[in-house]
Amino acid sequence: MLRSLHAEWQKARHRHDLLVCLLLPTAVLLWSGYSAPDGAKSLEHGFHALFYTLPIMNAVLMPVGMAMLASRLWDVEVKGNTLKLLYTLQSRRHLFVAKAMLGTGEVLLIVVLELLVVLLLGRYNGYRDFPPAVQLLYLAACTGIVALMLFFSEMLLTILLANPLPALCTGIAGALVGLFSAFLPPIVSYFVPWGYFIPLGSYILASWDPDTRVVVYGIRAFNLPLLVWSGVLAVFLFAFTWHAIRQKEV
Amino acid sequence: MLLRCIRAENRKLHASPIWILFFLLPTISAAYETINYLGNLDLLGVSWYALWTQHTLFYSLFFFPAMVAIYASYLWRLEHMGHNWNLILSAPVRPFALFFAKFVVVVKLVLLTQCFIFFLYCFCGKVFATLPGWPPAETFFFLMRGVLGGLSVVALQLVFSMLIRSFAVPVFIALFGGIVGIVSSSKGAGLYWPYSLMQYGMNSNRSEDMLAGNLLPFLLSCAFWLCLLFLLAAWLLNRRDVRS
Amino acid sequence: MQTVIETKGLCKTYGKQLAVDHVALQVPKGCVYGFIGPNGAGKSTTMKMLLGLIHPSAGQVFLLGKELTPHNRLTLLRQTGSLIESPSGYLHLTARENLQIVADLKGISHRDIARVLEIVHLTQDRDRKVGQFSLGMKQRLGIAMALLGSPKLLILDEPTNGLDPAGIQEMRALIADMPAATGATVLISSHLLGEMEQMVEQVGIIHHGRMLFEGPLHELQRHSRGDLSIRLLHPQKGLAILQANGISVRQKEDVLTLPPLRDEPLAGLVQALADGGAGVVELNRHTKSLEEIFLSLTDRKEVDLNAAQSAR
Repeated sequence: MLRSLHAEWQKARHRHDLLVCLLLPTAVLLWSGYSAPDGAKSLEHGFHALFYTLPIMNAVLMPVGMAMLASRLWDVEVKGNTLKLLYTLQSRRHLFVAKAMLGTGEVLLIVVLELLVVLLLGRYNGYRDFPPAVQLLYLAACTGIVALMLFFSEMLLTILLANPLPALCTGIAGALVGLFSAFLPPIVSYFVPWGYFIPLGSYILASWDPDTRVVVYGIRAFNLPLLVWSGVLAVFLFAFTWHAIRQKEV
Repeated sequence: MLLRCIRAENRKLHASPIWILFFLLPTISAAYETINYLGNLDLLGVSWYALWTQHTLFYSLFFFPAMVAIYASYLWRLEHMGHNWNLILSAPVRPFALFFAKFVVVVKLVLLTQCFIFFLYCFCGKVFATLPGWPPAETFFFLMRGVLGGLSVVALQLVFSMLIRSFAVPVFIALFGGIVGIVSSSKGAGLYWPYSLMQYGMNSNRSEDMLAGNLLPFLLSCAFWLCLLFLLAAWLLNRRDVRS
Repeated sequence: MQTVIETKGLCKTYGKQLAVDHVALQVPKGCVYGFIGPNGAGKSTTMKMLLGLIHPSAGQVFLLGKELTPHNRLTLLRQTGSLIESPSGYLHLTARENLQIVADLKGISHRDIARVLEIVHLTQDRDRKVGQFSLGMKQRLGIAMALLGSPKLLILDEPTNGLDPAGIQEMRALIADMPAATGATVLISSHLLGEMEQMVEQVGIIHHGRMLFEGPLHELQRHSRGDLSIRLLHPQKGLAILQANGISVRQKEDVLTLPPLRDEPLAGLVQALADGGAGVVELNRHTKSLEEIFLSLTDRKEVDLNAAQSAR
């Protein structure tokens, strides 16, 4: 097993994976840096604003970002014609587990960096409403689990069709649908896994006055059932991807 | 010579799966935005113009760059796979003609997409929103201006996809570029960033014309970026050795 | 005689098409076995089943004396080197890095890398990216990957694809020496019989998914004997002598064409022609192309059938 993971690590050389992983948090930094409220009045609810917009950013960025990570991980085998060699050297299970572990590591790295970026930005801006630890943990869990679910769904598509194109198309269409679902009645968003970041988010926009432009943020209860459901979906997609690799003839 | 290249590129698109994307994205977008428009009639007001901003907002902000990136990556992936680099660079054409042919083909796709979006806009406006009359001529003008602004995105994505052999990374870069584009256009620096030009041209996120009296700098900026990117592409293609 | 590869009733169907039809291979230990057939005959499909890359629709595979099962597959394959169809390799990595990955997965020392690079003459190019390699270089890298760890069994699918003439010659010498040098058994496929004749001892011929022939090369060469042509100074005299010996002859100017003959009767005929004053100037034996051998192999079956029927 260690051998397979080591091989996967070697394949990542010259592939600039770290750079690719930094792309997502950088996008978050730029976007939140732009949308972060400024002015003396906003110091009291700055973190609320950041934590409210982060899931929306994730709904746009993550489906495409995950498609990018997943398709890169598999496309290297398609391009190099290496599967028929690898399957004589290592079991399919080891190949899959190694890829899944590397991918999961990258996803978790992105989630942690993203969160750090937002927290540092808030600190830098001098916001005084630093979120409690439980909120941080919940946000990290939601982002991580939904991102992993998306990651495995995109990986599944790449493996089944041996081509990164469908995964990316799904990623972009998913980002679009996911973003839209957030602005439709809540029930709709439950049918759109790409946008789960938004219904899972605990920071909400309580009220917004279009005339005075005064924004009030609130915190709602954790959406644990949806979080569990996302986890179930992630496990299901993981199992399905494993099944696809096992069945695939080369 | 160029015509032959374009015809060859066109043939590569036959029966390719990107046509699904071509129809899917604008349709999803139009469906949602019509619903959104109908739900917010009191806020937006009944007008073709309000429907226009709804219809093109997300599209020009996030999804136009990503879609162009997919078109570009797809065309270059065909060359990156196998030994096609040898094949195309040994064809009796100038290397830049090859790049330009891809550019023309992607621009054709973009034009078709824009037309499809305009069709969906008119269709949704007439059938679902039952708006009176026909959309103002202005919107068609915005649409064409959007194409003009989009040209540099097309050229830039083609350069990225030519250099980066991965399919996915240029697509994400495009999304990234779009987000930076929102920031830079809101800071008034949009003319210095190619991904913002499309948003400026389409005029989808403001109620007043973003380019009123500002058309000349916009055109200059489009021309500047396009020339720069073409020169870059020609230089890269002449410098590069064949990589099979 | 120990067999290293044995298959029993191996079949593979794609949809309704039978790509491999009850193939029974027997590859003896320590030989170079040529697996010959035209494109699309089922060579690659059979080889992929030997490696467990695709699942047989029916039949069994025995490698190194043990039946290939999902459980022992990898243990058996670690002692095997393979190159199937187009060569594999990570394009963004260098040749040495690619070999390191394979060496790690096979669980062998990195010291072997220098040896295999030397064998395939890639030592100079070891730090270049595989994406910049020519087809022939990729092919050689693929062979280097197969040779890593000195496996007991090598399965090579058209390994001379894309190599230049010098490379082909080297490859042939390398493969022909393999049994003596490392005790390995080699199964090698090709669509050219001529290419194989110089290095294989055993051959199997496959066509439309069925084995037409399996046995030592010299036995096949009997079937590959083509017509003889004799150029004579006095063709008319020769014609009379040959017809007197009961040989059917076709004449074209001063050249007589004879059906395939064994060596002894042929020597006798030449003697008779010389004694009869026909004046033998040239004697040529045509070798059959692979297609003609296929025809003669299939014909023979039909002839045997007819003979059997008429005997009844």
